[in-house]
Amino acid sequence: MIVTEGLTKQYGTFTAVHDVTMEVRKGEVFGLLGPNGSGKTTTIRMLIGMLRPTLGSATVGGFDCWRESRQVRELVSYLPGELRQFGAMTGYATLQFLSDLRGGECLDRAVSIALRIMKLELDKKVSAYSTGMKQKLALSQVFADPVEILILDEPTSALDPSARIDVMGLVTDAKARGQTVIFSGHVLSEVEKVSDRVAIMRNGRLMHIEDMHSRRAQRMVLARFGPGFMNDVPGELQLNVRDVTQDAWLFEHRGTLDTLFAWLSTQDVEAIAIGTEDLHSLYNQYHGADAVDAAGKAS
Amino acid sequence: MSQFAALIRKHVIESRWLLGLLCVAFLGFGWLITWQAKRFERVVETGDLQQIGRNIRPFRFFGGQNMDGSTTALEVAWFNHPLIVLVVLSWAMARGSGAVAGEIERGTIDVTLSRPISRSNYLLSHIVYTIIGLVALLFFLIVGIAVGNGYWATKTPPNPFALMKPGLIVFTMGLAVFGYTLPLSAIDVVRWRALVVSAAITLLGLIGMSIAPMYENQDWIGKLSIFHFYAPVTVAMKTDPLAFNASVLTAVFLVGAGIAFVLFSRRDIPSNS
Repeated sequence: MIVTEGLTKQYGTFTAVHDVTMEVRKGEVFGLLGPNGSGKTTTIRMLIGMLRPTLGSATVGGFDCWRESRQVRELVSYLPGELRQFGAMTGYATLQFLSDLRGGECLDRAVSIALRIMKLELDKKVSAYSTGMKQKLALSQVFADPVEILILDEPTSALDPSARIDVMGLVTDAKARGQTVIFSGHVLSEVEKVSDRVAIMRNGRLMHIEDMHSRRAQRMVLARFGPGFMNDVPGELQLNVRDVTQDAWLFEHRGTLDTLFAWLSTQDVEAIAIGTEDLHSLYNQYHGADAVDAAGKAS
Repeated sequence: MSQFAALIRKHVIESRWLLGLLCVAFLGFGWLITWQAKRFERVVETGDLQQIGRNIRPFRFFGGQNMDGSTTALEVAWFNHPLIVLVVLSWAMARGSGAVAGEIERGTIDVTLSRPISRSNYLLSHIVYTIIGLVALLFFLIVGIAVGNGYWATKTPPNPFALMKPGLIVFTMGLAVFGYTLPLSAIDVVRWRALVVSAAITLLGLIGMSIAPMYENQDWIGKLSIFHFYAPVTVAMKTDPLAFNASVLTAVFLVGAGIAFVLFSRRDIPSNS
């Protein structure tokens, strides 16, 4: 659905995005993670034809993002990260304007989302809205648009906790309708919750793409063994040693629980904890204190 | 509603108060112009040469030494009044600088251009709305003059259609200024810079027109200024060619707009953060 090959954006000697190659599949929620200045927004702006790539290419639905950007924007609804609205318009007039720019057919749905879910007063001037209300107004339109792809650049940045939950619900609904979603953000728990895959960016480079289904299927097993522990883990258990500290072993487990428990029952286990791993540990591999990027620069 | 109509409606909503106030001001100024003309005609009727000499000064100041004493000339002379010139220039510069740089600066271009609109249609909507604004201003000015002529019963009130000729010159001068402001806006990210450069070009034009007659064989300096072609009184009196002057001013607009289209279609649109 969305393909980039060697996508690069330079401003003079500064490289904002460097050689990004990725593919976003139809119908998936693709998380984009990274701190400020990591290249997320620049990548997104190249996808919707706002910025011209210095090198490489990007296509959306087969259309070149720069040369055929209007066709791309037929397929995409975009929520800008730094959102500004037309202060002189009312909330309703804004939705009407944005709907008319897409043929006018999505106005009723946008109004419905704004009133029922976002709880906005649409007869008020946008200049009287708070930052969060402006974001809710734009989100109402984005989720109402009859498009195949939603690109949300930090969609929850100005929202209160309950509105964040509503947005997560709307993203889930969009996915259920078959829409492809690119979700860029800083809140790892939100991205983790809704994403099928997550890309981590750093200093303009794409560092890693994580399959969240596979990650969710993985358990972390922390066990402390007694002196009778036989250090011979059978391969069919799919139990890989991540770390060993004295007598405590940390395993990654992707197999079935039956076989795991059957094996553990044969071992000298003194204590055990089984859980899952959140995105933080993965994110910290690329953005923690000891992280080093692909160009060899420390964070 | 079509995409283009939606864009025009957006421009109207955003500047309706400003344009409305300016139109009312032009309507009132048109009425005031006829009062001035009638006042002078009454002085002429008295035959007091001293009074006539004193009262003709402002007309000569705005209309030039070659203007005749017809009601048309007495009224069109005021088309050179700073109120009319500055309002038209301000409208043209404000619209031109706001079209791209202004919308980038306040971040609203993202909202509009993230929808499936071509950049050329976006720019065209700004051009069309600026033209609508100029036409509206001149319409109210001419209506004000027509109403005033009826009210004050001036001697030989000009046909409103006759006022369209000098009106066309005012209109094309606005277009020309808009034309060279637009490319400045199309390459910038802040409105003030486009506005300052455009104002500087306009000011240089005015200065050029003013200083050129002071120096022998330097009248070419004045001819470089768009104000050389802004001659509403002589156009109304048919001593200057309307078609030529209007064509030159329109050509300045067309070249500027063409450059703006090319620049805008090729540029990056940065986020406003």
